[in-house]
Amino acid sequence: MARHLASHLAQLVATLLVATAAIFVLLRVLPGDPAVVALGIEASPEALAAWRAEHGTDGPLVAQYLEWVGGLLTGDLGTSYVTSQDLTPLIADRVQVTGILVLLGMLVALVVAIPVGTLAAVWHRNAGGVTLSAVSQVGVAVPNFLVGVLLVAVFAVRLGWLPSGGWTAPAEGLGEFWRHVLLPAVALGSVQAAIITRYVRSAVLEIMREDFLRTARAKGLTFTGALVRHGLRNAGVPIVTVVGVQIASMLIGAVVIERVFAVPGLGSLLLDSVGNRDLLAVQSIVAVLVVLVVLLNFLVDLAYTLLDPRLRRAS
Amino acid sequence: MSDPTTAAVGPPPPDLGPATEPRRSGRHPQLVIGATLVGLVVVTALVSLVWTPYDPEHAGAERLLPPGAEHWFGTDRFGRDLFSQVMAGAQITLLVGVVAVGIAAVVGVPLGVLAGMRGGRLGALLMRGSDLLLAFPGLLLAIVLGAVYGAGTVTAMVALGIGSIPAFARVARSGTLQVMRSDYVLAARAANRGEAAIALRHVLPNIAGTVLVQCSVNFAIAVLAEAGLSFLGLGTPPPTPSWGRMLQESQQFLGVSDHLAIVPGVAIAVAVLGFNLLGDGLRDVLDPRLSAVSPTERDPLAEPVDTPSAGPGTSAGPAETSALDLRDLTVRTDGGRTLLSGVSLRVAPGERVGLIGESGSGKTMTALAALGLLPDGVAATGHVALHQVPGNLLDRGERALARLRGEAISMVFQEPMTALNPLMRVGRQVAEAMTVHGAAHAAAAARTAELLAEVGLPDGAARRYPHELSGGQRQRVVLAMALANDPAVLVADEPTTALDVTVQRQVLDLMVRLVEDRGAGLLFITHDLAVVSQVCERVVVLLDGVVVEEGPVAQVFAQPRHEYTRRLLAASTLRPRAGTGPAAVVPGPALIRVEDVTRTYPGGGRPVHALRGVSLEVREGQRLGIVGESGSGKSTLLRIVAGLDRATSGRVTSAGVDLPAAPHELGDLRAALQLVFQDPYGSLDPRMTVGAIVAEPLLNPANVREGGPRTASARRDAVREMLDAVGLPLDATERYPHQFSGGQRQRIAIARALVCRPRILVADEPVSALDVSVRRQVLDLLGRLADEHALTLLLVSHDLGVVRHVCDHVAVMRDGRIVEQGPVGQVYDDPQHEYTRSLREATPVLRR
Repeated sequence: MARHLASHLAQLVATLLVATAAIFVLLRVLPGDPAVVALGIEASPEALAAWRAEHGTDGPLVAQYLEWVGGLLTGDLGTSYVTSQDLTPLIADRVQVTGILVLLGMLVALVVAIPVGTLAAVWHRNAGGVTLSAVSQVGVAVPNFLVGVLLVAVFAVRLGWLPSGGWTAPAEGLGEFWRHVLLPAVALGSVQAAIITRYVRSAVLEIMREDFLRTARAKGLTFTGALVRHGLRNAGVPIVTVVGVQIASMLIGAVVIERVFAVPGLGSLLLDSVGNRDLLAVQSIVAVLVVLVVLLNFLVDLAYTLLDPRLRRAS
Repeated sequence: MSDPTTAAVGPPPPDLGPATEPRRSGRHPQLVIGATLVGLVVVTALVSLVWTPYDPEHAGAERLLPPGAEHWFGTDRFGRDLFSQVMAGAQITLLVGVVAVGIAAVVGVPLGVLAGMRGGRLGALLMRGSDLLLAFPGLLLAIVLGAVYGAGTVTAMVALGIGSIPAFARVARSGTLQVMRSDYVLAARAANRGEAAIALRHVLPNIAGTVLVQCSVNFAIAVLAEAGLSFLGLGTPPPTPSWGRMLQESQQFLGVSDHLAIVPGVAIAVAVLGFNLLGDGLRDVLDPRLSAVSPTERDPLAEPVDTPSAGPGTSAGPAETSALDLRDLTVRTDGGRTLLSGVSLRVAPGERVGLIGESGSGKTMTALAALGLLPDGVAATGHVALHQVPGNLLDRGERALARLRGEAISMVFQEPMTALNPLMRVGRQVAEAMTVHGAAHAAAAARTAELLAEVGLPDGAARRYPHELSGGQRQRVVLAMALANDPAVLVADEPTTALDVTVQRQVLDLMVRLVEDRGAGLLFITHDLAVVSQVCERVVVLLDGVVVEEGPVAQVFAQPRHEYTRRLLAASTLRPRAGTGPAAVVPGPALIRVEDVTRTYPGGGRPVHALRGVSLEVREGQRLGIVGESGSGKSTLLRIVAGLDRATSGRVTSAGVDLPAAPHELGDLRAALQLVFQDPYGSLDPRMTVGAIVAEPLLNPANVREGGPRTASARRDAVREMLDAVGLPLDATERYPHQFSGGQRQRIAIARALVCRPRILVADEPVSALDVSVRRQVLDLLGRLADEHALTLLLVSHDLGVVRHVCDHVAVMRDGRIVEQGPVGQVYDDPQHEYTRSLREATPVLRR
């Protein structure tokens, strides 16, 4: 177990190092001198040198990379080239918003997907199961921003029950927070629900064919009893992977929903920074996103080990 | 944008359902609907290149018109025709999809194939690199590349393509690994085919299907992602029409002109749905698990047996009370196929009844019907009665049946490795058999400890997970579970078929003792007549779902009345080969010489010693059998001799070639030595015709002897001659392996092995996957061909009887060592080593 954990941790660190290096090359090295990007090609050499000295881009690239990664480790994400804002509190704030949105979206998705997917599997031979399966198939094909747009059209514009966009942090009033978060979370979660339903269905179908389920019935459990007591936890192993991967993808996919509902999340900040050509901000935001995605994958691996004793064996 | 990384986990596996028969081909609604929708999008895009009702970029009409006769889908805020825009938008959608999927497939597939074929460090490194991309989903990549190089169609396509590389690499790698593990690749290696030939002829054709499915699924992902990027303003720039941007522009008119959002939204959904359904449909069509319709289970070459009419079935045993009473049991599938027809059988209290028959005869269905565990899509009629249980079990609902299962009647299954829940400690699984019938937890836990001790498991076994126990131990756990509530009847379905001989003996003895102690009836299902003769008192013979004969074991086996029983008995009796007395000395020179060979596999921290110093000599014309149980190292030895694996230390000379051989010498070895593998279902490439399979060893000129077939027509003749020699019809050359039964496939494998006219034939458990009646035929064929072609034979088997039937010499292996060798008669009749004795003791003998 300890060995397993250690090898995974080593992999995690290696992945993060390579990934941050890739980001650095892509956003800091390839675009050229950030001073020229910021001040334009007609700026005087003195102005450029002054800018470089101020933003610390005058040293060797390797030193700059190490300084940046060191900053990431200590929670210093740098200062925006464009707005001169300290990026750390800004990004931290935005991560919170996107995090809340994604977790609530996933909650919506799981609450729908686990029962519906299970039923679709159990009823796979009759009309009910086929219908559920078809609905989920269509659901997967609908872009989540379309769902968002339609939700706004109905609940904000037509009915006027909920605001069409904006954000209130939970600390500033729970009631307003829920009014603002409901539609984006449902929009984000609904398509995920369809995707995860399909995975749950196939995982449960797979389990239903397992010998040990028949053994459980042979000792006196009903079909449903066997499925609940022996099947679902086994089906849980592949489902955990999917949930992990989907959360990772939602972190980035949420950017579209944030646009629809004017939610000030990490994705919106990323798009704004791209629009402003604020490359250091883009670099740090992307790094934060990648770290989150890699950490999630790591957690999924750990969850595996906890769920499945076969992987726990210390070699 | 649902998400561009779904690809990372891959699409959900196909819906197989617990079906019992393959879905009928030709009915794939998903494929039809998917292809239709995709076709619609493609045609729309093509037509829009030459014609649209209006110029999609020209603002010529009134603004924000609702859908109507003039403008079918209405107009947008500039007065542009929406229908024309949707048509033209299909172009960008398809372009992005094709380029993105193209990039991902062209980079990802070779990467995956290479990683799968090479394995080791390089493979791991390649996959790590591709996995790193998982941290950069396509959408993020598109935004980042957009920031550096400017957003646009090209950036979007490239970013989405790069983002999908890991999905393709993974699919290609896992497909490749599966193909590389197959015996047909081993056979190609044995035929001295190079890596490139294996990649092109075996790997690519066999993974093409899954790659195609991945293409379709990733196309859907690319369509969604492109729409999302355009929605964010990072996709195709205006004025080129794009569905995603149309949606984005619709936002400000929500509540006024909802059709502005709905029209492009539906277009996106139709395209995505189409590609997803196409992918699912393709998977259904291509999945061999679904499409491989097995031929008639029995070997068509076997002499035909009159399908019995009613049979003597109803003359059941003792007339008094019965523990289990099946009367006129008929089982049919929903499709109308009859699996069992009118089966009647009885098990008296304390009686042990054997139910025998070959694969497909309906043995397992009988057991499952008795317990109400028939799979979906299969239904039983007739009468099933249990001792002291009123009424017909078939009339009971699931809940009422569940109360009887494990309490009044219980079952032990064939495959101990999968019969237990892998996530639950075995003690809890045994205890559950009692608590589910109302026992208190503490009492159940105490009784579990007793039961586990009774089946001979060590202390502490209750705290183990199934994977921590051996196959025999797991079967003991299942037995403890089945007998926990002292049922009146135990049904055991091939309970020891998956176990080694010595373990089989122990488990059988234990089972008989436990059943006797409890006075329970036993219905024992097996294909092995020898086991029945040792375990059971009465026997019932099943053929094609009908009982053809039954009676006391001694009587039926001594004087079988039905022709099928007679044939089964004859096939089960493997007699020693003539002239294998101790005097049989083989004079020829040594063709294979193995000196003090070891083979150690580096395991994770704990190396596995497969061979620990083996010496062996096979002389020309000799027929040497190697006998041993699983893990004894017999297959490793065989692969080293065949040049498919290399020894860690020691000397090996095979057919005059010192191993490991230099590449130019390998041809000499291949021409002289060929192989037949265990599983006839895995050793033939499913995508090659039988003619191509048999001809493959001839394709490497190094394998062909002087004067051998070197032209295409000569090869064809050689293949025909060989197929004729193994007793297959000549039209077999144009057919595919799945159209043949197990026995026929093994004949094909033998033809492939002999087509180069080798001097040595090496066979690894060539009949252990075959039914009894076919086994005898294949063994006799091997013997006859060995005579005709003057072959030296090296045969590996777990079955002493098989070796004795074919070979003149035998070597007994255990734990990587040869413990005894000599002429078969001598070793068999007068074993010197203790292990050989216990092996012989444990081997069930057909008593007649």
